[in-house]
Amino acid sequence: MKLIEKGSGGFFPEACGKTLPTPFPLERVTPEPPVNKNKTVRIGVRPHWALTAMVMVATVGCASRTRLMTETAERVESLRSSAVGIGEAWLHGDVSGTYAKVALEETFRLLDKALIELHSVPPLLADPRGASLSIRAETLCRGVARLMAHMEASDGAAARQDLAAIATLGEEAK
Amino acid sequence: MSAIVDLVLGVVTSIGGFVEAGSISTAAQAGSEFGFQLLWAIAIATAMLAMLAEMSGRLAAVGKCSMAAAVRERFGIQFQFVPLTAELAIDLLLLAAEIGGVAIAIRLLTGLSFQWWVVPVGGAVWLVLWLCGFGLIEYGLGLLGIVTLSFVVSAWHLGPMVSDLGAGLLPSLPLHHHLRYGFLTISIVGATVSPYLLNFYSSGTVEEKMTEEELWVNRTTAYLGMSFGGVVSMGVLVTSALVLGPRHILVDSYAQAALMFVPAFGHWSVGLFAAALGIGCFGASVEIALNAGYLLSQVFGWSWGANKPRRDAARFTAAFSVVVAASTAVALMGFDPLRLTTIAVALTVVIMPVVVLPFLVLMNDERYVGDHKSGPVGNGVLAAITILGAVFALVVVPLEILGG
Repeated sequence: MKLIEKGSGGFFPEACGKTLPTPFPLERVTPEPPVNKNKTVRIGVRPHWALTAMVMVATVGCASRTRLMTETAERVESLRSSAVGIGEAWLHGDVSGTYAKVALEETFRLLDKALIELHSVPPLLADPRGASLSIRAETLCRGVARLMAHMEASDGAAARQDLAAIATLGEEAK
Repeated sequence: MSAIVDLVLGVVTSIGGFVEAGSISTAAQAGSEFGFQLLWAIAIATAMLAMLAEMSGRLAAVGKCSMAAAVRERFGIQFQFVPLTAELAIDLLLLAAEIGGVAIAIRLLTGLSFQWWVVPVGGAVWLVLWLCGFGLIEYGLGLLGIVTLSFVVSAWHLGPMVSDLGAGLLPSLPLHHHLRYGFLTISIVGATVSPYLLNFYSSGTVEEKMTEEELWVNRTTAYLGMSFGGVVSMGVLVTSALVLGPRHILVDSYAQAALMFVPAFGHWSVGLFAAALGIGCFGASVEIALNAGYLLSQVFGWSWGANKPRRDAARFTAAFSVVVAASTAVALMGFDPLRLTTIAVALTVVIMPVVVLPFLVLMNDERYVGDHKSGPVGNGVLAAITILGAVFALVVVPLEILGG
């Protein structure tokens, strides 16, 4: 019989240098009896190979999570910068209200998509950086929504305030 | 005199018809993410396209048959089945992406959801094919496409450093995001060297009844027109690198890409961007649909030709009509047009070896090219493109997953 810690095996968070809280109790797992006791199947995997495989899986898992985190952060920053660019161009009269509305709707949609992707990987949200990114993306979502509403109402002064708030999000991220 | 007029029109329409959804999206993404570093990919892809276009025009002018018809005749229908199916599938995706591109361009101007415009755009593409002859389609849409030169004007206005542009023309590895860099390189090649262009170019040469004596027109049009077209594509990359790159804006939608025109054109920016995107995509839509009609008709031996009365080429007409309807249905499903374009141009490289390899044989067969067989340089380039295409085809799907 062997003890398996549930909730920590999937993404190997400890290999990333971080330990996630274990919300599940330790559980005893009893191996199922073999179907035919006369035929014993031996799996020829030596311990060091198994360890190497586990380390490799952990490394790949960590790398893909780190990559997803970096990509999402870049995407959020890109969308923040787009929102600022669109808002500034609208305030300067370089682009029409129609375009600004369409472009901000797209920005909002892409932000929502990025948030869904981030929220679909729980260990990412458990990571402080992921949690902070999620909060920033949500704040940006609300900022973009406010900017859209103020643009719709042709309220330049309020839109300017929204843009300043959105720009501050970028400063905070740095 | 007529040859010179043909030459000028050919060069101008090549420039106007060069830029479409694939080249705009890939060049804009490359510029915003890697600065000028992928200029070399556009330069090499353009050179490859110019050589292939010249060869397919030569084959059509001397052999009096298009590329698909020659492959069918030389290798048989069984061999043709794989390239035909693959090219039709890619044509369908590309056409859906181009129709989506036009719909997005109209959305930028009207604010109405792009799906409202998909059916009218599909209908307009079909109407142009139904009503117009080859000359009007090629020259009319090509001349309208001159609006895409606004990318070059914008890049010129922004004044990039010549030394930086020169450095971008030399292949180099990026400091970051290697997989993404690899994926974008392949996408640029796929967007530029679309296999549909080769059959379209050779079918057009047959439609225009070009003779062996006019091969110099074909050569000049291919090299000059494609080179200038490549400059337009580079204009997209340079503008994106100078405007979107410093702001860390990644091009995830055409609406974001439109921002690249603001510094150069001010309140004309969105209108010009929408016109360039819309006209470029519309021209490409008509060409892709026409090519699908050519391809099916030439492989199955049906009567074909955009200059023929439609009742004399009924199955050809039915073929392009069905392809337009099917692609409109795909576009109507609501896939993000930019994402669809990215996937379609990346998959284009998968079929490149299947299309180019038979071409290598044809260009050395006296029955098709007479005394105008390819020399060692031409054969070397075709062989290199086939090998490169095969390598790209192997790595594009993993790269699409990891860096796409």
